[in-house]
Amino acid sequence: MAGRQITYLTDAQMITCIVQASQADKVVKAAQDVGAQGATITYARGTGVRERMGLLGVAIDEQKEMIRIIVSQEQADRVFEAMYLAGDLDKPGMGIMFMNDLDRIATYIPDEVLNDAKQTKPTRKASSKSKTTKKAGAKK
Amino acid sequence: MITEIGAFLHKGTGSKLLAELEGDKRILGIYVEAGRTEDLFAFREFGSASENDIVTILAEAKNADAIFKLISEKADLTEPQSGLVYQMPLHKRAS
Repeated sequence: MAGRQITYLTDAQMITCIVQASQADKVVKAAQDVGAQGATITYARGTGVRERMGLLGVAIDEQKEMIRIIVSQEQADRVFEAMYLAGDLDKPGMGIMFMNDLDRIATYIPDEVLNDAKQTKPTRKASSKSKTTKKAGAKK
Repeated sequence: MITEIGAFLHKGTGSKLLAELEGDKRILGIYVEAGRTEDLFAFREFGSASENDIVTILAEAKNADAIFKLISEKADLTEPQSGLVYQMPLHKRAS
């Protein structure tokens, strides 16, 4: 693996949002409108509030969509709030969302972006020579 | 202290990774989900989205570096459109 480098991005958060089926697209659109690059969506099955609130358990859809979005710390609150409002999560039974700190992210970063980052911001060197660390910026 | 290492990868890569890492004593749990992504891959299958695998690995924090590196290499992150690997701490464990 000589010559290969892993660039770690730090200062990022993962926002996870669980909404009723078919609601994910509008929540993702709201996140993108305030700067998120995109999202990863999976299908899931939910329980809990459905039994407590749904009329005979049918008024609240059992099928859920789970949205994961990775954002920089600077963007996190803005994206979180936009998703919350777009998903109507202030209404009962519409879903739940939470945010986690990420220790680090690795993905492909074009050389020109890395070079620009080196010129504009000081980078922290990781312990190994083959690794560099830089701030996440707006990377999804 | 345990840690979660997750990866958004091409469709099919998750199952391969699952098979390769089966039996690795450093891994406490490994799970694969199928989903769709909006921005990781350029090819489009469903309107603006493309299919992908989401791999979640649980491991002791002391093994996190090695596993993170292993997954990053298997994902071949030196190439564009290869996916994304992340790591986050978990605060409580019970099994």
